[in-house]
Amino acid sequence: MFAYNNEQLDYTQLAIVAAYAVKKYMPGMPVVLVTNQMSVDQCKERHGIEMMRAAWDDIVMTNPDYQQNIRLHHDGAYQSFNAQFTNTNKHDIYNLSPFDETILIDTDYICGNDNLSKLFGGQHNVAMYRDAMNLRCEEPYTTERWLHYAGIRMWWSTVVYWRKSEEAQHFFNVWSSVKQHWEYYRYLYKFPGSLYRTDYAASIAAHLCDGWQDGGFIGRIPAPMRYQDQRDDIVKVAGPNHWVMLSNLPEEWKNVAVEIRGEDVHMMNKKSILRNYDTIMEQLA
Amino acid sequence: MDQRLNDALAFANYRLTLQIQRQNIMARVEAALLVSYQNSIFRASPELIGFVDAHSRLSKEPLIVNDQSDNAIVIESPAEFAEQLIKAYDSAMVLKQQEQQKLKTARNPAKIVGL
Repeated sequence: MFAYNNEQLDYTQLAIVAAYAVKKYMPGMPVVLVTNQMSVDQCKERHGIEMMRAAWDDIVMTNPDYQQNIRLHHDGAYQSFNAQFTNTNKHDIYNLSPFDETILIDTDYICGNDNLSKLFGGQHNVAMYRDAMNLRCEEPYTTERWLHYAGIRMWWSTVVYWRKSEEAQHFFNVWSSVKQHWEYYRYLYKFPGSLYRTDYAASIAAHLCDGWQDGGFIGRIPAPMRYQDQRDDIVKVAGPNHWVMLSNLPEEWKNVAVEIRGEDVHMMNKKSILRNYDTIMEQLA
Repeated sequence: MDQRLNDALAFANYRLTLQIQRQNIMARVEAALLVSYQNSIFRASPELIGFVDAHSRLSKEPLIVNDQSDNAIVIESPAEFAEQLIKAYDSAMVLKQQEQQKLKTARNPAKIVGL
């Protein structure tokens, strides 16, 4: 997992939660953090070395060039904030990982079962989520299913499994090239906005590697990825993989409480994790 | 607002929460049905279980089945495979039955989500 702190979000704190969840549901699975010196120093100061040792088996230090990539985040339905999002070196993970088989997970992806471990030794050299569903079991927005209404399907880069192989190397090399020529690919694949999205870059790399088609080069992680939208919130942490959440919509009268249990959840509202940090850690410990 | 309308809206809210909870249970059941075997992932469906059983009894050919990614996989030990499929199916159905039973007595949204 990657974690680079910024002024608004303590990504290392999120990474501690994500690592504890991995260790709870997939015991024995080594967890490695990729980060920078500043984030490690902050993490030591805020959470202590013992907590860090318990969370990660190793820490890989990197120093990605600063590239302004300001992203609008929401914290529930009523608050939003801008924060720098350092994700420009995600494709470097192929070279950074010390393992033959690796699952890269985002720090806001909280495991709730051992399903990801079933990917190891599987039929594909690279696998990602193709389908996702929100707290209401609905499909995501169109822009999170397609890069363009007449374009290619999106792969989620929240979880990336790969096995060191020629195919996987091609995939990450193309991802790197897409990142490098982002402006060109943005026009070629016709999606709006200038924010660098790793989901889109990985989707383009998958499309190119697959011979400009959708032919099964990337393995699909079975079952859709459950996600909590940035506008949603946590109401209660009832257990280590048991949540009561509020699914918020702009129309308040449509808000609904939802119980999620026994599933991995991509918690896009990062501040909701940080607000409930103590309770979540109590449950995961 | 008319009390009758208030009651109807509260009921609609209850129905919405109930339906989402049902779908969430199904999502958990689907995840519980996944079986990792011989480096492939299978869904322990009654059809697959039935086919594996029938094949073992009626055919002398190697057992070849599709995994979740549509790859044809030669199953080396059909009996062990069937056992794993049935185990996953049974535990998924127990989960489903227990969760649906809990929902039957939940008469308001808070109770449905366990608040």
